[in-house]
Amino acid sequence: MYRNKYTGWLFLLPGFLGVLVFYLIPFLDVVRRSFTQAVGGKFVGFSNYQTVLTNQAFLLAAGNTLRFAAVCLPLLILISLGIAVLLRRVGKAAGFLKGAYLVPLSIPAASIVLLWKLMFDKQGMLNGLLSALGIPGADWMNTGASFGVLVFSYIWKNLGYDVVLWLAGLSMVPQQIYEAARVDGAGEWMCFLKITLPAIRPAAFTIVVISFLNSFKVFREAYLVSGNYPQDSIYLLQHLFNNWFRELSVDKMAAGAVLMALVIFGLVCMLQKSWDME
Amino acid sequence: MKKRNRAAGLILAVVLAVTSLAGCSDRNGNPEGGKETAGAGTEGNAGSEGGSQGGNSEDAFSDAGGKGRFLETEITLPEQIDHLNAVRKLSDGSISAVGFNANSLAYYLLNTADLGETWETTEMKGLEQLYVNEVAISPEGGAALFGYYGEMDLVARDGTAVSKTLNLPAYSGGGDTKNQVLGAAYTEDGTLLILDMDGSLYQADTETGELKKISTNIAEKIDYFGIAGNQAVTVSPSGVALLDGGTGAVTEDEILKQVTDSHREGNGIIGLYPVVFTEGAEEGSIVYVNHEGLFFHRGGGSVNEQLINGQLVSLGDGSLEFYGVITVDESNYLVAGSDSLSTPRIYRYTYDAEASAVPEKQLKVYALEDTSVLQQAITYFQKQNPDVFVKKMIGLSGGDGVTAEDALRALSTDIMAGNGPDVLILDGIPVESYIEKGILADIRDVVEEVEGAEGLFENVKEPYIRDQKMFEMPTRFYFSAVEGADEALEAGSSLTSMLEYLKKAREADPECHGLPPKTASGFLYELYYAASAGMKTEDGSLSEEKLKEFLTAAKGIFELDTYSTEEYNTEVKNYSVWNGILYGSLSGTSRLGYESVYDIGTVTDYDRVQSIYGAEKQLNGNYRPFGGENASFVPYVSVGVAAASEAGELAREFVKGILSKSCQSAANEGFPVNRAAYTEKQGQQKSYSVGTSKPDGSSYGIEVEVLTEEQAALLTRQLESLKGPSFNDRVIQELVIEEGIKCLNGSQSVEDTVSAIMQKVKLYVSE
Repeated sequence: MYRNKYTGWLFLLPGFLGVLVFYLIPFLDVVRRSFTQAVGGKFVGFSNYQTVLTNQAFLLAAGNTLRFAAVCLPLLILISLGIAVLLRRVGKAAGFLKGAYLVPLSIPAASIVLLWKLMFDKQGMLNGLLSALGIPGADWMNTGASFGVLVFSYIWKNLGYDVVLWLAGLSMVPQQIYEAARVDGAGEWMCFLKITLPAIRPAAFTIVVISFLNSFKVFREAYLVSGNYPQDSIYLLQHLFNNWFRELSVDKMAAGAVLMALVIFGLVCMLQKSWDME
Repeated sequence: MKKRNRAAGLILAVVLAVTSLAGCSDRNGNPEGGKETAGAGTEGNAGSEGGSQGGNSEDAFSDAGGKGRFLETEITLPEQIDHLNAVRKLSDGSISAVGFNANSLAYYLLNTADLGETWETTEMKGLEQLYVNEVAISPEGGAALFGYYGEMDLVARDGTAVSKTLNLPAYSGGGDTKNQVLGAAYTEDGTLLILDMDGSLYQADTETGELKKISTNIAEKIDYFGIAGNQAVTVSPSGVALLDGGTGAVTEDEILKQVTDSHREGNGIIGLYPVVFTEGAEEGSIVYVNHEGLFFHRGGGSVNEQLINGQLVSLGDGSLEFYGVITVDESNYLVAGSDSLSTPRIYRYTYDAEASAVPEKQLKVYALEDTSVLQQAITYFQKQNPDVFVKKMIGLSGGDGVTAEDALRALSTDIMAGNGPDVLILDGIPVESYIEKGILADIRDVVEEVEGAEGLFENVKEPYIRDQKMFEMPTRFYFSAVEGADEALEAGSSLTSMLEYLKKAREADPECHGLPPKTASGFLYELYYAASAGMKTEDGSLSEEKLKEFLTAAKGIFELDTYSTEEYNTEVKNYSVWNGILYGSLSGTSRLGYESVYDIGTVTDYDRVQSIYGAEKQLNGNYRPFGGENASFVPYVSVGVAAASEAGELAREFVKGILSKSCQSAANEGFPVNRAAYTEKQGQQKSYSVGTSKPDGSSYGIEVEVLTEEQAALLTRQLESLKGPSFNDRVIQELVIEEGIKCLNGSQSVEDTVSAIMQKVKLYVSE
């Protein structure tokens, strides 16, 4: 009994200590710094939060970041689920296709950036192609179109990963249920709605959260292509934090980070709540 | 059960929310890319075994408990000597040198038996060489002086000379170029070795002038050589080799071979070298000196032992070039060199067993980029404060791919961790942000102390006073100017009016050049310095209207010339600074060569002004600061002190030192802010000739003369009338130039460029 009670905790301990030392404790320090001056540690109450919340750059970056997540997440989740469901039906070719979808994930960021530059430059391949088709091109990276490029890049890169996660979830649904439903006259669409969707709900929570967190990593490509000050629509929170750190604006950075963590925490809680309610 | 699930869900949410911020915390580790250039403190003792090499300066500093260090003193040369040619230890143990007096054009044999306490001076008589290219001192105290093409005067110890001629072989490079003597030295047994332009080494017969080539297996040309006993220490592209002066046999020594990896290239002045060699006190050993210090290498040994850390003495001064090094005994070394003002110096290093091995105090000086001005200031401070170890921290060491942004973030990490520097060179650093956050201390009292004693350029100091405090002060400055005929200068008070004038000039003469050829980035850099002060708004942003005006005019001027070169290098860099040395881009030679209507660029020192006057004398033109009455200055090597510095008093002493006349007079780059140093510089002008060729191949020359009183007074008035600093915000400057290049190269319209710049600038300012 004693063994059963504590063995699991002992296995969790190393991982938890890592999270504690490398994330939770530093984050507590970030929380502390969000209430002090950048240098000297003088307590300033909520003034850093006030500064950040009235900072135009922060409002733009936070808006862009949320907009990006709001557009990308549904698109990625739905497209990847659709592809996963289809892959389940193609039989032997599924293995190859699954691998093919994962290829973008294995391409280094530097190569992706090069690809971006070749594709989306004003005189790049995409405009060349459009021009050949008689369609006017655009300055993809220096206009609002850059947001679309960023969304496309994120979905292209993460699609395979989400497909694999969905496939894992789908494989957990017993085939007998489908067979019984079909005997009762249920069509494909009814099977999907009444059996597949409820069955993969636990997997969906994990996939949504992981996809949400992955959406923050798109900054790397945006930064490498457009530098510290990209087109307004792809100016993300990470650009701002990066620049604040250069300027030693640790006070603003700490307050911004706490706000960001609160928003993520709130969103994840809401997600958890909605899952529990269902 | 449900509660437990909810709790687990909440914990998961917290962890996920926090871990998502990992991207913000990944720079809290070691600073990336920063380079600490100060080596270890002085290690080991004279010629002793062991002793650690170089290493991390922080570690070396922590070993401060040890005793024993070489201390520097300077030997005074006879007053008639204003140039040195060679030094050597004679077979009788005394030290000999050959010196020169530029006024009387006389050469002297110098000898001291008491390490420079007293000198015996003998003027050479009967010399036939007008121009001495190279000098070798014999072990007996005589000397051989060489002209360019093998002419040789053999001088006995009593000063009498006999003329001979060396039979130099023909130069293999072809054409009409005649072979020259590029190096000469006597081995300990009296053999005279000669190096020619082909990089071959010869034994010279001083009686007949015949040369016997020494066969070696060194594949490349020898660049230069020194003498260690009877061996020649040769330096070639593959490294250092030991070569027997008699047989030519090469002794392989892999450790010694690597000595000059980073110091091989000198300034091209014959007789002055970046690394010099001699024999050590121990048989078969080699001693060498470079800017890193003085090193001892035992024959076949596995290390080059650092006996003297260059950073702690004058050897670290990057402008110092070496004539030679002498091993007096294992506790005494002499190093002869020429400083930034071409003043000959002989430093004596004596081992003091009681001195602490490394200085007991430390001062950390940070700069984004290294400059010779900073190095000279550190050397000066180090000499004034031998008990202080100055650690130079350079953010952009070059060649490692670190960007300014990376370096600044690493600096932020250091400051936040409490490991920040004591003194900051603020060029390229976000000063406004640092002041706002209280990183910088008020240095007004220090600045005004120097001002009270020696005077400072008031117009350079005043703009830096805010709320009765000063947080930064430029140590040097320069300005943008435009060259042209008087009428053109009158008409071209702004870029727009310059463009109008150029259009008219082009209509009158379609073949005329508006400006000498420039790359888009170089052109923009120069124009930005000239016009940026006028584009700055009160909130620290850019005026969109002025920016549009600037780019329209810049594009117009750039496109007027058909020879506008394509952009070979799109890197945004300061074209006035190269390898840490500031060069003005305006000297008159370009406008004279291309006979252009205008030339625009930076004027960085007295020498540049002399050169411009020399060129404009032929063109009947003149120069004037760009912007007329509203002309601005470009601050260079601005200094500040960290408010949190634990060595605050030392840091303030450093600021006082770098602003002092003694330190400011030693540097040649930029105009000194110190009035006394500026006045002294005026008195140091020299006349000389410059020859170069025009694009059509014809040659032309400029007689660079000492400024007349009127010209000197005008320059002083111009410097005094510069209104304020140019808009030196690094981020904005880079944004303007990066986007501006696209505009000048035609890949983007002026409107689109202005829009792109303003969008980014607005983001930057709103942060």
